[in-house]
Amino acid sequence: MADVISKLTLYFQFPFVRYAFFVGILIALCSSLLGVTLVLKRFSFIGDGLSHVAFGATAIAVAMDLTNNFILVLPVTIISAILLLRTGQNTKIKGDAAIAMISVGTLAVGYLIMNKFSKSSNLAGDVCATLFGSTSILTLNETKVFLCTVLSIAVITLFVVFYHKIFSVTFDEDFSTATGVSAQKYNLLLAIIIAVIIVLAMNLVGALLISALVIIPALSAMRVFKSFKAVTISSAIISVICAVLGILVSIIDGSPVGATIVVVNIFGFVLFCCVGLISRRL
Amino acid sequence: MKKISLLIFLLSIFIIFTSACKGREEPLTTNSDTVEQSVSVETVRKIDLDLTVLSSTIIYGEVYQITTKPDEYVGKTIKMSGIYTKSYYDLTGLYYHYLVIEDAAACCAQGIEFVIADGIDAPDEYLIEMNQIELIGVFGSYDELGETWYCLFVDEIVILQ
Repeated sequence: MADVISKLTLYFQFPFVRYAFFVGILIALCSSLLGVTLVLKRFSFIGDGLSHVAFGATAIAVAMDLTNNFILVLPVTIISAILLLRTGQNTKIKGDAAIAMISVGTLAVGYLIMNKFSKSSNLAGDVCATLFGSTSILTLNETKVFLCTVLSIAVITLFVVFYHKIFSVTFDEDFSTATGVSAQKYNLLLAIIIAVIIVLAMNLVGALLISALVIIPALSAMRVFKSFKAVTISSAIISVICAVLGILVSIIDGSPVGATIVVVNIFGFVLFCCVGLISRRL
Repeated sequence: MKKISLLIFLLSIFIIFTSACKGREEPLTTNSDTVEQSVSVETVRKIDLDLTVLSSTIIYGEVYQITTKPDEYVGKTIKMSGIYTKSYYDLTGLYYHYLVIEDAAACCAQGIEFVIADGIDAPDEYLIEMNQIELIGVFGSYDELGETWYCLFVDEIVILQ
C-alpha cells in the first residue's frame, strides 16, 4: 500500500497526470448526466453512431494536420447529431438504420482518410489512440484542458437549467408538447449536448468505447434506484468513481486508460446488479 | 487466549516469510554489472527524470511531453529504456540511433533519437537492433541541414537483453 501511495505521489507531480485526472472527472460527470435520458429514450446507440462520426472528423483533422482538432470535430459531430435525430423522425430511413449506416460509413471513411492522407509517421498509433483512447487523456495540452473544462461546465449548466424540460421530454414527448414544451426544440438541445459529450469523451475512452461511458453508469444506477432524479445523481457518482478508479489503476498498472475505465464500469454494473437483487429480496 | 496466541504466531510467520522473500528478490533478478553501474551513476550524478521507474502509461505520457515540448527538457539528465533501432539518412550519409518506447496498449510507439558521446566504444560493436537497452544522458539539441533536432546525448549505455 505504501508503495502504491509513493507511486501515486510521484505520478501526480507530472502536470499531464493532473490534467488527465481533472478532465477525466469532468468528462465522466457530463457523460453520465445524459446517459439516463438516452437509455430511457432508447437512444443508447446514438452515442455509438456519433462517436464514429467524430472518428471520421478526427481522421480528416489528422490528415489536415490541425493542431486543435476540436475546431473541426465539434461542429461536424453537432451537425450529424441534429441530422440523425431529424432523419430518424421524418424520412424513410428510420432511427436505428440511419445510425447503423452513418456509424460504419464514417468509420470506414475515417480509416481510409487516415491511411491515405495522414502525414503522421505513426498511423497505427493514431488509429489506436482515436478508437480506443489508449493514452489520449495523458496527451492533453493546456488549450485542450481549457476547452474540455469550458465545454463540460456548459453541458452541466445546460442540464441543470433545463432539467425539468429534459425530464418531461424524456418520458412523454406528446404530453410535454401538449403542456407547451417544444419537444422538437429540446430534442435538438439534447442532440447538441450529446455531440459535445461524445467529442469530449473521445479524449478519455476513444471513439469505440464512448457508449460504455454514457450507458453503463445509468444502467448500474437503474438496478438500485427508481426515480429519475435518484438515478441521474447516482449515475453521476458511479461514473466519476469508476473514472477515478480506472485512471488510478491504469497509471499504477500501466494499462490502457480507456479500456480500464470501461472494465471498472462493468465491475460497477455487476456490483449494482447484486445490490439490486439483494435489496429486492429483503 | 489460545486463538489470540495462534493469530500472533501466524502473523509473525507471515511477517518473517514476506521479509525473507523481499531480501531474496533483488539479487535473483538483477545482474551484478547492472547493479554496479546503476550504483555508480546514482552516486556520481543526479538524474532529473528516470523513466525506468515509471509505469508504461506514464512513460508514454512523459515521452509525448518530451517530443511536443522539447525545450522544457533541454539540459535535463534523463534515464530511459526501450528498444534500440537505427536508420540511415542519405542526405547526410550518417546512421542515426533511436530508442523506441511503446505505450501501454503496445500500438503507439515513440522514438527518441540519441547521440553517443565521444569516448564510448563504437555502437556497432555492441548495439544490435531490437535489443532492449537503457540509456543515461543529457537532453539537448543540434543543428543539421538548417533545422534543430532534439536528442539525448548519451554517456551511459546498458544492454539489457
